[in-house]
Amino acid sequence: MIAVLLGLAHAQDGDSPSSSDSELLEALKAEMARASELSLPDAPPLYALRYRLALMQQREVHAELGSVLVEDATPYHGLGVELRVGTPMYDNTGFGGWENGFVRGSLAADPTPHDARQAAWRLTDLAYKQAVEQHARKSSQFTAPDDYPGDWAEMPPVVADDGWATLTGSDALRARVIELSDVFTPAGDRLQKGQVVLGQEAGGMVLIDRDGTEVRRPMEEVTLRAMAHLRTDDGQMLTDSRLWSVRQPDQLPEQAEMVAELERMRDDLLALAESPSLTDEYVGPVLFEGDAALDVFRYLLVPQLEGTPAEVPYDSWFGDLGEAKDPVRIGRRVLPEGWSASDDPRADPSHPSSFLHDWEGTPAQRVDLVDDGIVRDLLMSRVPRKGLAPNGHARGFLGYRASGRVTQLSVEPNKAASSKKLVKKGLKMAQAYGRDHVLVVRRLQEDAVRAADATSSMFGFTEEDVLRLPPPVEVVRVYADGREEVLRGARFASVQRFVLRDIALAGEQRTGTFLAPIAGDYASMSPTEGMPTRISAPDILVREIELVPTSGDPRDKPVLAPRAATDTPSGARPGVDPETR
Amino acid sequence: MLGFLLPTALAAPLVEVLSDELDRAVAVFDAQPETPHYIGVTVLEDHTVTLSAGSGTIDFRDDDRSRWLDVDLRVGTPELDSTHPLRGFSALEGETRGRVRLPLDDGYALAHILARELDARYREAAEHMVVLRANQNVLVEEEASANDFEPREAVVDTVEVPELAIDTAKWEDLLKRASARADRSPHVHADMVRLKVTREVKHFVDTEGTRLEHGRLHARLALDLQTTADDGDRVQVFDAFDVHDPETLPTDLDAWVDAQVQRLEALRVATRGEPYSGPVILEGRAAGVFFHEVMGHRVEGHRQKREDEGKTFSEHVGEPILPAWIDVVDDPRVETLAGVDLNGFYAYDDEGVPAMRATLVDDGVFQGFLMGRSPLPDVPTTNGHGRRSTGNPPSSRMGNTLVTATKAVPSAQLRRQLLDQVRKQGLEYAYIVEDIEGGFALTGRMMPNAFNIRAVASWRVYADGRPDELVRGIDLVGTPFVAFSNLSAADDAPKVFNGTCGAESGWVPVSAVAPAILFDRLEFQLKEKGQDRPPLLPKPLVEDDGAAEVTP
Repeated sequence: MIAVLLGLAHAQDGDSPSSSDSELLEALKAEMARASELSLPDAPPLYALRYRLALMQQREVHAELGSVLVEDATPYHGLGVELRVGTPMYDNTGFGGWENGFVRGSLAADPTPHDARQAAWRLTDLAYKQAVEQHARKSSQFTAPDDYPGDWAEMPPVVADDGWATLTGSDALRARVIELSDVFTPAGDRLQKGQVVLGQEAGGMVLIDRDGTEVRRPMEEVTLRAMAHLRTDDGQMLTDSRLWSVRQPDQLPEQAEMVAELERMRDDLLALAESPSLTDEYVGPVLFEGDAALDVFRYLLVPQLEGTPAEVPYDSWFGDLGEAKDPVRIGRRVLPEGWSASDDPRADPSHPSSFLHDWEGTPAQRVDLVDDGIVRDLLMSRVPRKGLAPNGHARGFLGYRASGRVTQLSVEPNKAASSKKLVKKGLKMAQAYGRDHVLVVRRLQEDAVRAADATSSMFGFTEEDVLRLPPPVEVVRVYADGREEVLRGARFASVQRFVLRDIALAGEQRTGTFLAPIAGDYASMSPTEGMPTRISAPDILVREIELVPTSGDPRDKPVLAPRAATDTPSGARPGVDPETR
Repeated sequence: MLGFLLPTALAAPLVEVLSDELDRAVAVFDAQPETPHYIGVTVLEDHTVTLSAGSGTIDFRDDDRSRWLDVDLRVGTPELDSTHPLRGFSALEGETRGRVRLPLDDGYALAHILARELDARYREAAEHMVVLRANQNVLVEEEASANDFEPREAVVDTVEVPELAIDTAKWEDLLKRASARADRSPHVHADMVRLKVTREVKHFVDTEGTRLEHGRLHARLALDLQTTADDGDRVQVFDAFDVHDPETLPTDLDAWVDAQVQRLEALRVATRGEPYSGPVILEGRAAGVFFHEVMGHRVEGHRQKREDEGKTFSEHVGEPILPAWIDVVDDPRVETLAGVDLNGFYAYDDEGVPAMRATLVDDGVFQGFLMGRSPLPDVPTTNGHGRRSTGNPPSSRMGNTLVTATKAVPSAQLRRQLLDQVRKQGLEYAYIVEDIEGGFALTGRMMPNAFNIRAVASWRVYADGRPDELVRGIDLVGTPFVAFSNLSAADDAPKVFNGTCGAESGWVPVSAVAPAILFDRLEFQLKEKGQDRPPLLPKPLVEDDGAAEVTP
């Protein structure tokens, strides 16, 4: 499932909602009007109510070694209700706990106005009761300070039609996914797993509120994640993956190009298994290249730019519910002098992260976040923060409080050097640590893939999850004579956000995509789950990073290794569709 | 050393892949310090069509195919193997076994995943065996020491499973009309009418040479209605038809829907019951669940071997535990009883053993246990009750639990006997439990060895002749011996409960058939009560939408 995908595009040529969709909307408006009658004795007044109607076609395919494992094409029709009681300055939101006035439910596969209205009736009733009680819980434990910015920024209604998307090319995608997964087949006797997962969805979301807002947004995304796991002879699990996330199937690279990319990944993983492990701790300069550089900014910079305040913790029987930590500070140095960062959801309209109006209907806009290395502004939803106004960066999903999130982030240094110069400077800096080489990291392991245990279909957590950076797929010792030595079995230690202030030099600018968690962390996500997010940033040389060895457990080495594809009763023949069996 | 024989008659591609990989695994594992004495491999092919309607429209439709793998691998010897439970601190050792999905075709991925699972199960079993030996050395002797496994002769058989074929357009129309009919009631806050048709085919191969292909076609038509009573109780009625052939499902659903809506509306305004001790009649379906929970789970063979189990009946073989006019058997071979299809029907269990009739109680005397291939000290053989849902090791489970009363009375007389008991005990009223939603039993030693039968609708029957009064919000509770000792009469109209039973080896389809039973004394406790107010605004009805009314 890619149930929480917000890859949006604007100015679509796709079909507009049909008349039946309009009828659904009219039914919801009728129920929204009736909600003004909701009341309980001594309860604070209902002052804001929003419905989000999501109608999406979805397709999911999991393929392994040339065969389909899972296939699903169930549509997603959902209704989200967001209800606020009290006043914009102090309402039921922004306080920990899950019964807070934000609820969601499913609509029928064949939705009708009657079904939609009944769903709205049930969910609004539930949201109202939750909101009233949550308001009381909050007021019993939290007194707003004098400079409290409030819980909700009032804005004039917005009416916009940004289009609607339709699902296309699913059958061809299915065939591509099977073929891509078959790239791993020749290495089947070495691999624990070789899978490709497709998540495709298309449709749209309509947001309405009591003030007259009516915003239609397309929702469109094709995401493919390829992943392979290999167990080395000493028991280490090696993992690598590739992600493609686009709006429409025809935006994917040519199949031959994707096959070639996965063949490289497969072969690199096989070669890595034969490489030595890091045996000593490494403290010194590290050069992050390509996707690894993007991941450093993703993990260490992005959380410092998203400005929606954390919820006030609810002191409950379970302990504190809600995230008390607030990693965001305006005026904090997060990058070296001269560096800048900005985010504009409209920058690349072809990217699945792009939108014209955010999840709350606010027009999207560019925000200059970092200037001269210091945070000057933050990404905001309509949840206020002192001194900051909504700036069209709300992202979320039905039933969740939307928050200001990165969509298309660009991180730019004031000056950049060639790759050659980066290595040269790295080597020079390494000398101060008594080393004749500098470590280069080109890819980090993907949390959502790494958490997928290679021997079962269950997802779990590993000890590294407490770190701010996932372990590298590999590290490369680069020597002054250009010689490279590939090592496996390393992980970062003692990584802090200050790493970004410790960047010595920037290199080539890169662009990539990652899937951001809607809530929780990366490790709790399935391979194609999350909000597509575009990031552009340079390769970086960091003055000092610590890497330590990780060891595998020899007991994890398979006793019964899989046999080669050419050595099976059925030979290497491709899978046969169940329809033709 | 494991023997292996590939029956050529079953050399289909899937069996070929399974057999070949099993052969290779045996050769590899036999060279290890810890060797398996048995490996069984099951591939479950599942094809399920689901259609569901709510609020008068189709809310879910799905046509899903999936394949699942189970590897049952035993390291050691049949006398002591890796399935033997650990005791004490070592019992904290975790297991990683779970549901393993297979591809939908027989390509290379199938063999690859099979090898991966064989390897995982082997390594886990080998580790377990090392700890087990020390565990046996360090701790005292077990109470019921018996072999861990019963080797058997190979069985080769194919049981055809009918293809799944339903007219989805026709059923979508029927379900929508039924849902719209239920939705007319302002008190039905949520309705669901669901048809689920499942074709399961199990392919089983093992190192004894058994090769089986068998399974079942099953269809369930269910109606689920919910409301919230003024006192906060979440009131739900559920009714279902379980059949082997979807063509035999009823298609005129109006009367059925109307009856369930009436039940819901009656229960919504029904009195909440109170803790009670006195005479009770369990109507047939409720009585079936009573025997399932109170006796059935306690006579599952594997429970007699575990040191943490209550072993209620372990030492009572050959002794009377029920009145002499009660017989209880479990017979998974019974496909249909009195025109009703039984959900617990199967041809082979999940250990490759033909289903057999197990006599549990004869003339009130306890005869023996439900057995899988894990022997008991005095019961060396299975009776074909090793069952599981995919992802779990099999254990002894019920199939069709059939309770018969050799001395039965008409229903009206049973009611008279109930009232006689009320007067005799000086009570104002007794209870008749009409409908239940299931139940559960605690069989271990750490918790009270009690049962709970979750009543949905009970009737207070007054001694002074006042009309019967519908009651909700109470559950039957008790302990086995006391409950059995209060069983005093039965009627002559057995009823069928078809359901699904969950336990250590997963969820398996079961049936319980029993007549109505009169107990001189049983106990009720309050059921948990909902706390939500009913919706603050009235339910929007079809006529409120301004849309054309749907005519059911």
